[in-house]
Amino acid sequence: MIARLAILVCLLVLPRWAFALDIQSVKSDTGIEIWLVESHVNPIVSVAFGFKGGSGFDPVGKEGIAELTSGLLDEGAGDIDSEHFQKRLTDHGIDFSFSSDLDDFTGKTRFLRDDRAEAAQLLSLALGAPRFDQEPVERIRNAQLIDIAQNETDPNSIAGREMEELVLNGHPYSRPSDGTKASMDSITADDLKQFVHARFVRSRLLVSIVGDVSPAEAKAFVDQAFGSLPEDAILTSVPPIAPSKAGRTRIVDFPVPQAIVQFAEPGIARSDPDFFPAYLVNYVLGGGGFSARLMNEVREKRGLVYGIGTDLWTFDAGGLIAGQFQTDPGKVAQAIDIVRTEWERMAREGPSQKELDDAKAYLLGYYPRNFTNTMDTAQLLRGLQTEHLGIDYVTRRQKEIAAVTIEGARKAAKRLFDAAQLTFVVVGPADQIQLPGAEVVKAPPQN
Amino acid sequence: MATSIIRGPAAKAAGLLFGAVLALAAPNATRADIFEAHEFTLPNGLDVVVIPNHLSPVVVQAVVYKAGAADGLPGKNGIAHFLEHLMFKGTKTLAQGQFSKEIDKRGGNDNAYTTQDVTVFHQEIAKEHLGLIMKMEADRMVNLRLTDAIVLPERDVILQERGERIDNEPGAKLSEAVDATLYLNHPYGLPVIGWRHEMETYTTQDALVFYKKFYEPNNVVLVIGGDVTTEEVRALAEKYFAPIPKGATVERHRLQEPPPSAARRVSLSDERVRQPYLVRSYLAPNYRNEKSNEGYALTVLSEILTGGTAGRLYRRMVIEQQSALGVDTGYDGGAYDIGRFSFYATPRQGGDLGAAEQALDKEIAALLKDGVTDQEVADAKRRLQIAAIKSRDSVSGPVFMVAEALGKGRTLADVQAWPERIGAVTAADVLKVAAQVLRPENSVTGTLLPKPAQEAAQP
Repeated sequence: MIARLAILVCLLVLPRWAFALDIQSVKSDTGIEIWLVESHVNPIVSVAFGFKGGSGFDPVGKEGIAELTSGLLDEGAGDIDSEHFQKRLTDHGIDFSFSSDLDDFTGKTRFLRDDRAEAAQLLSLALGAPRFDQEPVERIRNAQLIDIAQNETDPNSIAGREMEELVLNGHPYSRPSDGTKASMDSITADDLKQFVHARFVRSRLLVSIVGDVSPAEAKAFVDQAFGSLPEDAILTSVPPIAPSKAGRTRIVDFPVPQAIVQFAEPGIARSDPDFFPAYLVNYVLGGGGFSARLMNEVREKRGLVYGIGTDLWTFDAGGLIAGQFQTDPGKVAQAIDIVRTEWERMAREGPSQKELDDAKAYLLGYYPRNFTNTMDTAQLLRGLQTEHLGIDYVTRRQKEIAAVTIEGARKAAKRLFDAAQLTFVVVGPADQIQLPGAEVVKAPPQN
Repeated sequence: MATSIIRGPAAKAAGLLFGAVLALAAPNATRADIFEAHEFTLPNGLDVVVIPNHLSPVVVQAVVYKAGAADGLPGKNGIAHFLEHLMFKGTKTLAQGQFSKEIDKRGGNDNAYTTQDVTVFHQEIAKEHLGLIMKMEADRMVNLRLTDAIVLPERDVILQERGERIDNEPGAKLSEAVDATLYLNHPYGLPVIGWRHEMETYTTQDALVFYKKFYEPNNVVLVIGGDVTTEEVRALAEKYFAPIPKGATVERHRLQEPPPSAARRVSLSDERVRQPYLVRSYLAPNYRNEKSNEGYALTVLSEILTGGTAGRLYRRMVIEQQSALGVDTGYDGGAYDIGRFSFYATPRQGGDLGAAEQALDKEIAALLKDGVTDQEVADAKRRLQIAAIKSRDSVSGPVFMVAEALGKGRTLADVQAWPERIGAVTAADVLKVAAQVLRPENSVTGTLLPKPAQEAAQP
């Protein structure tokens, strides 16, 4: 889960007063809205797009289908087989990739401006008429099965799965995005075709374009790339997550030299009015790298870890606050004790005025760093579209951050942090880890 | 190969193997006149390159010390990386940890990394703070203050770093073994982070010895990119860096390799391995020492073999014969002393690593017998040139390309001439260098294998 959710952090970084980004909203002839930033510095165009409905929406028994699809869309479409599809992409140097997180299925493409008709045609075929020929399906399925097998013995993956089981209470988002051996073996070419027709529809499409194109050229691109997709299809909904507040500690007995520790408790939704105060107090506690309390206490003062950090994870269905570190098995108890102490202190006292001011200055000052290349900019805009934050968000959010008061931050800290609700998962050699009261389990069997 | 003060945002679950190859390939993606870049040298010998880029009101600074893990100290291997960590610990005027906090509270970020050849400190921040980050880098170039109270906890941190990056990762342990076997005498065979038993003995004095020997302005390349002009950078460099006195001339003294005489193999088995793989590395010419265009021909060769999934090896081994699930190559021509050309192959699930290796050997034999076609060379060169154009679409990318190149003994003119030299490569050049490099005695083959869980003793 940790790796899957990393992208969310990027969506949270913030604009700065002085920097103006000229985002145009353009509607194409077939009615597709584009957020467009023209940048004519280099002859390069970046397109980021997405459809609501990611791996968290995989049908029961077909877990892993979104992930498998993301690996197959550039493996042949229309009359073009895999080899020739790949050759056309590489001959033109067109970057083309798809991925799925829990909430959304996303894609991106970057190309030289003169190749935009070629890129649009290949994208249209990839989304509208993927072939799913046997050879590529089996090859990509095989790769995913190997990932599944490898994750069974990867201590970080083991910790993530245990945490999902303990905290998410059986919510659909706790199912494996990569699938299981059984679910992957059951997916047929027909399943994949159905998936594509049900998911890639214009009513759930979001597109941002940044680079060397005019509005007219951007419109022509999206009409060619997305214009012939179906208008709509039904997408089943996912219930809100109801994270566990039980505050359990579980050791997974596993023979690795260094133990992996993950911790999590209920968080906050992106749409919550307390989101920015919560984001800022998380920065002070664990999100702010070397400026954060946890890094200072656990690494800088005591040398117990190489890195420690916490993040707010926000999904459409709710949120978590979670963190992780690695240390020698014999030092796990001491490090966990410090995390608990700092967690309680933050809940009780909140940040100091100076800590809050520094955190706000960081988030405000970060803004222009989001826009140092066309693809990062396009992806950031697509994220704003996905979160329904509005085209004026860039300036509005700066004001909202600047307006956070110390009282608001303390209130958010009290609401967010509750050490009693904090669940810990430790993966390492149990006989060397001294955590009284923790339940000890064996590493799950391999399937 | 590089190791840094703090990890990136998320541990990557997959792609360890091929991620490494991409990292090697990236610095190649430049092209003559592709960057607007200006170079000047301060009277104290500090070399400055400015790469204006106005995509966003942001600047990136990279300070490259031409000293890395391969530069010592004997018996304290890895001290370069330890010093990298300690450079954040404060100066005469800056408290411990203050360096990064000053940057954080302006919305910037900073980090550092160490390789065999260089130690690089870098920051990205809004343009109005360029003076601050230049001032702080100049300060720690001469005013570092270290005490045991500060140094010893950090020694524990790098031991944890070694645990996280190497000891917990079977693939990383295999890489360490391949390196130790490939180089018979050169310090490239020692790990950048150091061996644990030597790391445990590092002292404050060891770090200061390395600092005093190598951290001199005449041993530094300063590269600044982003929303600035050369004049602005020149004024700030003269204000902050020029007052630092020139140090003694710094030279790299490294043990050199003898001609290799035997192909070598290493193998690591671990119960946690579910995806076996093979890596084969050959000693190769580098860009810097070449008398001809060998480095450029090897770059084209790598692109022909595995440039995207249209590459020759991927087509034949993965799709047609299905003897492998993945195959890749990487050429690292940037290293100061010796280049390296590597192959990677993974078998299909339940497949045989031996069969993948045989298929790879057959492809190498076919390459050496028949060479490459003119069409393959033309396609590869075009793909590399498109990648070079795209490399301009970044503020930090060009800064790191130039920083790495100049830190490892190449010139700005070399960087700018890269596409021209790539463009001059012929099919005959590729075959000639392939025949010279791809000889068994130049190579080490490493295999990562699963180990069955131990069986109970039989009566």
